[in-house]
Amino acid sequence: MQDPYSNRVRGYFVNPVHAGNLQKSYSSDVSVTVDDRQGNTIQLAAGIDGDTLQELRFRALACPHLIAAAEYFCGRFEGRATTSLREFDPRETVRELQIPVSKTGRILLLEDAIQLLRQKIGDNSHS
Amino acid sequence: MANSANQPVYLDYAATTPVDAAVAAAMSACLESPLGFANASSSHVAGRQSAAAIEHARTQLAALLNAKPHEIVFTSGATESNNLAIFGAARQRARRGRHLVTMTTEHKAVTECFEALEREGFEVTWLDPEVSGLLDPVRLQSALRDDTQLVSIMHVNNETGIVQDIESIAAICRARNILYHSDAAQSAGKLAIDVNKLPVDLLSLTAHKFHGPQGIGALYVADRPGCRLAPLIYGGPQERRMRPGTQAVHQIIGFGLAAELAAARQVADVLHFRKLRERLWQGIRDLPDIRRNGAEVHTFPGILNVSAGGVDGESMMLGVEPLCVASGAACNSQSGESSYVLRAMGCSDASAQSAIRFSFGRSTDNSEIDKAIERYRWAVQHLRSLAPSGVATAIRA
Repeated sequence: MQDPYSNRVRGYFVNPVHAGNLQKSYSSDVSVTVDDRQGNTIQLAAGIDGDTLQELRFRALACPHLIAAAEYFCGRFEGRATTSLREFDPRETVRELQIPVSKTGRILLLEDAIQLLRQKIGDNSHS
Repeated sequence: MANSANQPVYLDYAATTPVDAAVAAAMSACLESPLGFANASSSHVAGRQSAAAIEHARTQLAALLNAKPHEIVFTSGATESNNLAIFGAARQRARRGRHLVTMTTEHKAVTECFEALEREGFEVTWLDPEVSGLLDPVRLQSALRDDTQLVSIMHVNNETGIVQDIESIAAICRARNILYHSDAAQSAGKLAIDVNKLPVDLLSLTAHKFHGPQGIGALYVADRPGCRLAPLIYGGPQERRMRPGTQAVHQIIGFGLAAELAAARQVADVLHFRKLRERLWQGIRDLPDIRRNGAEVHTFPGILNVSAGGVDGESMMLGVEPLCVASGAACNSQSGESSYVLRAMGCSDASAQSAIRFSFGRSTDNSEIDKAIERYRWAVQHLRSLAPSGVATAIRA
């Protein structure tokens, strides 16, 4: 049986620097939670100033791949414009983290959370 | 056995054990002997030597169970022994009746036999355990019918270590003249079994669970009227025609010696396991929301099964590395489902998913247990620190 965890997945799993709560207050704090029937839960929080994602954090009750994917997402999009969230591509995450095909479904939960986050940020900016 | 930080710590002895050095030496001696390869069914002198070696091993194995040597049928392992016992008994007695009884917490090597027999038209009553994992003998009594032909209840559960009261179960079956089979893969060689005192008819065992080689097992078939089996395969007179085919002489020699050594070490091993299990449990039990799966009293001390609330099972397995342990999580089993044994005992799916089975061996030492405590505590605390607030307590059964 092949090791299902790449070095990057192992690294993010052991030391997820974006895990936890937002460290500061921002002009807008947005958070979302999604879960699935398998018992996985993922929570994303964004601290926004202007149209910049100043801080991204996550919490997860999930498998190592999903934890690593959430950490990868936060690191990749932190500091970027809120509009950049539409560039999230789960296939790129799967490729970069070498996530096995059998686990790609789990990454869709992260995609759902990001879509919800985008939606909520959009709602907030219009209110 | 001292371990550096990343060196694997093997705590999965319920899955398999290393071959004892003396056993390996005896097997090698057979393989390297000029005529050790001889077919035990051949009538020439070399064949007779192989046959004698097999009969010696049969005597060693019989002594482990206080059985008669001719009551031992060599097979390829406990899975085959279970298949032979269940299919063999059900089909042999089919004209008398087609009702069979087993438990939902049996090993797949048993449950899948019964499922196959259901497809053949047999009727199976599946008994659930109590929350403790034990079978209530009264429930067994009430499940038995006039047409019941076979009851199969394991001795020690492979996931939880629960020890069923097979003396009571066997007595109930014997009183009704119903064949009783027990899968003793986890207990033979580890707990004392005396078939002269225990009215069991069929008992499955395997060498690799007690420091013998993989690929060899046995079925004890009581020498008493009515205890006959229809063979699964045909092709020769070996093993009283119940398991024909050329016998694996070196494997059988290893099995016999492993049985002899296990009998000699049984008491010391159990005491050793009990100390290790207690050390491990005391080292983790103060963690919040920890559940020990199975009755504390009626468990084999070589196994400790623990669930933790608020953690994912697959992440637990990665978190406890480099421990080599077994998991109740779907992602770590080939079946794709969480432990059906734990769910049958009333565990929630989440609790079953998070379960870790630690199992100990002769060479396990305190430093390995301390490493297990450290890794388990780290994994639980790390994963809970990642979990969304409120989840940790929400998933408990």
